[in-house]
Amino acid sequence: MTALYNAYVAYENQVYFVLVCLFGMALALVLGWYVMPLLFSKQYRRFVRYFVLGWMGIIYAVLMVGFLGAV
Amino acid sequence: MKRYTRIYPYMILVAGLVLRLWDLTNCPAWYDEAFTHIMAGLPLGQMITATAGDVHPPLYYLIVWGAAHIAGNSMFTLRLVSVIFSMLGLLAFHRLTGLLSLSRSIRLLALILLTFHPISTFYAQEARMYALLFFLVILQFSFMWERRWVLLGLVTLAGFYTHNYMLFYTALVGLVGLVRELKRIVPMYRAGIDGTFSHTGVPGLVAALGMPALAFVPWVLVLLNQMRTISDHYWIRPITFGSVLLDCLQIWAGWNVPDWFYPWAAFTLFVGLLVLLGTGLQNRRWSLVLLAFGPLALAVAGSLAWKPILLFRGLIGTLPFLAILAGEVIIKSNQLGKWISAALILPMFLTLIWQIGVNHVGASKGTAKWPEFTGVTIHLDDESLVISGDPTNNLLLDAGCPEAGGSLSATTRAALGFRSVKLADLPEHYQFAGTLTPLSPPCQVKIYTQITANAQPVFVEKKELAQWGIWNAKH
Repeated sequence: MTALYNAYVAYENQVYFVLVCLFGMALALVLGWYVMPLLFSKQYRRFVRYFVLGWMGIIYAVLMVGFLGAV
Repeated sequence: MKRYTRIYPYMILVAGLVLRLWDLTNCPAWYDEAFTHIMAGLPLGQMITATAGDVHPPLYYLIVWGAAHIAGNSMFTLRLVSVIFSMLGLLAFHRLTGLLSLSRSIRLLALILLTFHPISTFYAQEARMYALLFFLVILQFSFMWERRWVLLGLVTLAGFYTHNYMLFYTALVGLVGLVRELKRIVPMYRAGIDGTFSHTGVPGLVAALGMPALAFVPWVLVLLNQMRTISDHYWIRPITFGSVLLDCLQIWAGWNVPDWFYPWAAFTLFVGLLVLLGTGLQNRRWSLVLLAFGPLALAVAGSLAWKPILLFRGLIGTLPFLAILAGEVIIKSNQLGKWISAALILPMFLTLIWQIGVNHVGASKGTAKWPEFTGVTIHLDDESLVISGDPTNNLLLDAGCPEAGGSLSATTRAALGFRSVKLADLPEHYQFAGTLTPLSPPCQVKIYTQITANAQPVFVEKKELAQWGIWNAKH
């Protein structure tokens, strides 16, 4: 019974962990898209945006391959 | 083409109605709906007593009680009540977007988003009070905006007696209304109008929200008493940052989706919410931002300060305000922004399609094989062991487990009128129905294992660490 309960808590914690990671990525993407380009001169802003978007896409893809593999 | 645009909202509403009536009784009642069914079938006095022992106020139960006595206490009638409130909510929403002087395309897009949102359609079919809460929150904001104080007072009172979360919505609507009225004082003062304060709507607003608050005091006393009695088996778990994110996901993105789809739905939802929050603040849409995100903030604050009260279902009233914010951002964005928005919204529609395809009322997804009402007490208490002999006369098994509490108070159990039977007094042949979860107390696990070990399974389902079923057993 204790093992079952612990498995339940562990399962929930895993879900929370994935959600916190995804929220962190979403925050990074939004800040990278809206705020980070402001640190650069106008001609580079578009490049910075796509750079951030590209990296987020790569990180997301890698994480999801791992996640789906684990599921 | 332009002359047809006036009928677009009605076409959306008709599509929404069809969607809500689609497969309305496809699934049997789940725990909460079964409770509604039992309540609607009780004599009025007994029903009120049972409500006084439950956490939810009585207005919704009174409405379904009336509906059940007119049209019969069937799953169709009970869920139809929610469909009606949901449709009224959508109509009120379309009227509200008109009051806010939004452009026609923003109004239309916001209506589409709200009508086809997986959670809005889900609770439109569930035999619970959330569709009514959804309707009342929209009405409350509309009447505050129009300064119709008497109607605002009546709706607020109805809301208080529908769901406890109405307190959060009322606090925020009151704040928006108060700031709006106080802003009128400065130009009046400059224009030299005497008795400035009484010329604003402040007295009307205070009366419209204050009088229902006074009328709600008796229920608050009942609620405080309930909190004392249910504290032993309080079922909402403490919040963490991750659990709050899960609540956001469940109310704003839908939750009846396959596991592999959750990460994408969560990621796009979080991006969308952050964008809406940012652009809402940038565009100074204070009132919409406050109503969209404020109830969650208040529930989190209340959970941290007092005890866990954050339950995602209560946040259904935030959906209309998010829909307006989203509609506005999408319509006003450039071509690239529109494409990104479409990508962000796509999971929402995929969730809806999945929901319809798999099982429209997804709450019963795992229990679709339960008989509609014959086993209604199976759902009465997740952690109870129940025997079901005669379908119309179920008995609760009193196994003598000291930890057994379930999520119903003793008052409610007594008022529901279920008889219980001791372990020693079980009949020779009986049908046993039980649920086992990781949270079941050890004593119940022991009894469950004992009975099912030598019984003939009729139907057993195992899912995500829990299991439930019906067995033919012998004493």
